[in-house]
Amino acid sequence: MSFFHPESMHRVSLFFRFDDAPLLSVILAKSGVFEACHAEGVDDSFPERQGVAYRRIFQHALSNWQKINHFLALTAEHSVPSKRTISKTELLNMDHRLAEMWKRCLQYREDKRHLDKQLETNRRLFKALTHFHQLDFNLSDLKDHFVHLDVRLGIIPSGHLNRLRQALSIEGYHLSNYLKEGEKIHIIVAGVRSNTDMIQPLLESAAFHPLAVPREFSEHPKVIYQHLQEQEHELQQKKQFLQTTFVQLQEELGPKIVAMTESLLLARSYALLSQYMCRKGQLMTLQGWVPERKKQHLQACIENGLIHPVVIKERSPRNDEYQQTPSYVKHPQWLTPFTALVNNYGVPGYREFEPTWLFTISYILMFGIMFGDVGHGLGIVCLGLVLRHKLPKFFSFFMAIGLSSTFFGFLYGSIFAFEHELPALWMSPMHDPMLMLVLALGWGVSFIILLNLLSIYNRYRQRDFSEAIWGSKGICGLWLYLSILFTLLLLAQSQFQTYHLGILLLPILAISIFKWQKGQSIKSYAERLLVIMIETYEIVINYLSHTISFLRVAAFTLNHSALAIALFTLADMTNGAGYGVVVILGNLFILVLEGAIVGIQVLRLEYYEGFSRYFKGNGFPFNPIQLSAKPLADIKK
Amino acid sequence: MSRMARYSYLNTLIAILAQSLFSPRQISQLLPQSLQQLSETLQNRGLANVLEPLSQAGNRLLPAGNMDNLFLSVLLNECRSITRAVSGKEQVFFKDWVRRFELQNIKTILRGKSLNHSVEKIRNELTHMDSFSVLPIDELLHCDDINEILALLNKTPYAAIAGYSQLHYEQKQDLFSVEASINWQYYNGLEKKLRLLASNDKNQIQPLFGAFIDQINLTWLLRYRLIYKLSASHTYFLLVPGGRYLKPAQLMALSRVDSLTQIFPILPENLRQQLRCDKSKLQQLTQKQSNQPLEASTKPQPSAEVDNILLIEQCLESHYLQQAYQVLKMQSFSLAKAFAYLLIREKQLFQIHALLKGKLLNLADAQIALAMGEGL
Repeated sequence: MSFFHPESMHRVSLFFRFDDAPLLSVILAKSGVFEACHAEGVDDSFPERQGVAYRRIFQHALSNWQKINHFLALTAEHSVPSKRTISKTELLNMDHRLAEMWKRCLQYREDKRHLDKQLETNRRLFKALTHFHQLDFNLSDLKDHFVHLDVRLGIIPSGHLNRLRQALSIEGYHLSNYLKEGEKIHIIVAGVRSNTDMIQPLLESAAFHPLAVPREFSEHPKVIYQHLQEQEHELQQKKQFLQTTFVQLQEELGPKIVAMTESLLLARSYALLSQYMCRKGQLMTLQGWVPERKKQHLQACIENGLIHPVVIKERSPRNDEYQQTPSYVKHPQWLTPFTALVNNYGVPGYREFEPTWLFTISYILMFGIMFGDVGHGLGIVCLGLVLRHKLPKFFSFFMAIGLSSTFFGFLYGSIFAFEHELPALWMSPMHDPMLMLVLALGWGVSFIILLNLLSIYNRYRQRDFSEAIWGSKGICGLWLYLSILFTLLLLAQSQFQTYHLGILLLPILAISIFKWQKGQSIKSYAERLLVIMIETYEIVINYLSHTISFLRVAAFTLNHSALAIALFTLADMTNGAGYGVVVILGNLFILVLEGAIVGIQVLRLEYYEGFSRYFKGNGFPFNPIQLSAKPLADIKK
Repeated sequence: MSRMARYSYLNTLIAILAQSLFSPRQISQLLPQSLQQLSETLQNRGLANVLEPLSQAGNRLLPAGNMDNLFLSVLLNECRSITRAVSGKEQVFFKDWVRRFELQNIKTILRGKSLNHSVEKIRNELTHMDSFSVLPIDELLHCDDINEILALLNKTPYAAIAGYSQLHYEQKQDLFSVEASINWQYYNGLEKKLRLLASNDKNQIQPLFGAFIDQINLTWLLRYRLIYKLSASHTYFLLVPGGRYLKPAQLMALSRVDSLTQIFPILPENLRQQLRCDKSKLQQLTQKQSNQPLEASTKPQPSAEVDNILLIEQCLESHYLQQAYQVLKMQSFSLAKAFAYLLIREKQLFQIHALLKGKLLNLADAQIALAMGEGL
């Protein structure tokens, strides 16, 4: 196992009997070291494809399982499944049972929705009643069936009001609104009865919800009110009943769902792997990736698990296969937060330098340098301890940067922004700002040279020799960078002579010729020349700007001391009364704001000045099929 | 901030993108070209991505969905650049404009589910919206019925549209009302977003947007009245506000028509002019298609009506596209310029799509021209 590049992978081809496919799938999933890939070179010899119907049933069953799980808010965890296969018939039965269960859930949901609607209608009627009472409106009129007049009462979305009013006017109807509730509006529609058929579809399109006028509405308002209260009571009872039904559903379906989880997990392995399997008659083949050091384990799992023989062929990835080879990287647990930050930029390719260790060390180091303070460092450590249960993955991150900050705090003699209370093991940055700037520049130059070497190494490993030698991030690029540095040194010492330009021009010429060769797709010579000139200029500028960018390491070191001076100036201005308060609040301000800014600035240096120089991050992680690594609820259909 | 400062990037971007547009004359000149010549011409118009899969397939017709998605991806990429060049309400407007295509996905899923199509079949018919996609496609595809789909849509940015559509579905249980409601809600929402723009931007886009809405309204109106036989009031209700020439009074009057011939006296003068200008071409094309001239049809048969409505749709489309060309040419540093570009580009991509498809199927040039809406 290497810390600095993904583990060596092997491509394995398995040849096995057709009827062993389901069991082999389970064995492969249980081994946890096999990632299937599309088979190559077997289209003619193994033309048949497998498991289409099985996959469709599985997906349907999984979909229903997930919906029920989500609907019933089930959280029960499933056990690690045993090693058995799920036949298509068993899966189909399970799918039917799940479909039935989901139907029951849907029925419950519909009942609940209707009840909610009834409750809402009742609430509206309460409101409407008050409104009618104020208007002294004879409600029994609404229920009378006039011979020539069609009168309706109902609710529409308020956005439809004007349009509906205009549309109804075409048919000679009149619309009047009398109550607005949020996005809904209560209306009365009246018109000539002969046009009833014409307006019915219109009202439906306008989402007109007719309000059922209770018989009590023709009575005295007090009686109506009492009736509505009774109705409300009845509905509340129904609601309670529905709640009980939900609990019953949970209790009844919950264990069944949990019991099916194991079967679904087992079925999943064949459903997933069957799409990569190719068949001819009784023989099948499956191809995939396995870490080299897990080969034996996989072989043992297959041989112990299957009765019939399996032919296993394996080989290293070919040169043209690196883009398709997954990257398997394993780091200690405490590196998880740093790995997450690296993966946020990109996953290292199979033949690429794995930058997590370099990233971690340089991040911790730069954070400490830029935010060196014993008090603040220990503050971050305490923060990590306090949040260790809420953010367990970031515990090591807080510890590492906190301790680094503490260490540099001792070197600078800085504690809670007090610059003279603690004897410095080295010196306070403010004592010699120029030295700090020179050291930061030196760190930047060394870092960029190291990254360029890594870039050459990456290109060498990817067999891209021309880029490794002639590219702007290859040997010629490094040569150019060293030439720029040498020229700047000569200029600084006033020893620059015109012929020294040659030192700079030679690598530029080499890179330009290389780019000229590469840019042959640009037909026009003038255009190609212009593009190369701009790109070469950009390379030089990038080297300079990236180097200067590292001055921010010193700038933030000085910034910390400057903030401390500002803080104590403010504290002194309070004439003793609020000194303590200002110092405490100021320290909190520095800890939170400067700490966050430094964290982001270091990340910026790592990403833009660091990764952009050597790390493509265009790989994809090794993702072996597993039986229990991921709950079924998280699986995408 | 001045308009010039605010839209300088957008203006430059549109100027660059507009180089890939054809003039109406150039589009006509594409028709007689061979596939080889077309490839060379289109290569220089930012369509290399479309041509590559075609040439890889040996210049054979790709499956319909793939072909549509290739062309749409060109448009979406450009829309992405345009939405990045603006911010705030302007960005919301353009993003909502692009959602027209995703709306089609909702309808495809609804139709597919109502016809009990398999998940794979429906998925193949969907449009790839790339980063513009906000729909949980997988979950939608695995819904069991229309109600479940609409309930799920309620949790997406399409909640407003889905909410009303759900009400319609509950009441009528038919897909037509759901789709009509989706269309209505969408264009209403778009018009509201337009009204939220700064007054300068709004005033500049409004005429072009209004002309676009006029085309939609008149086409829907004729379809609802003459094909689906909806009542006048129902038809009027399903039209959207914000038209340029067709104001509510005209729409109300138009909603009462019973045949195509009755629309001409009611139409505003400029639209009538536009349709008259195209009348002779319209008649020729109509005769080619159904041997039934527009004005001779006293009681049009449904199939003839469909053809004629399509032609009227194309006439009005060419009307707003003429305006879009004017806006693109005359205006600078404005949102209207970007909107005009999108309208023209969409139409031209559709025309090139039809042209390539026709050529690959060895259709006659006249048929391809008809499909492209050429000659109007």
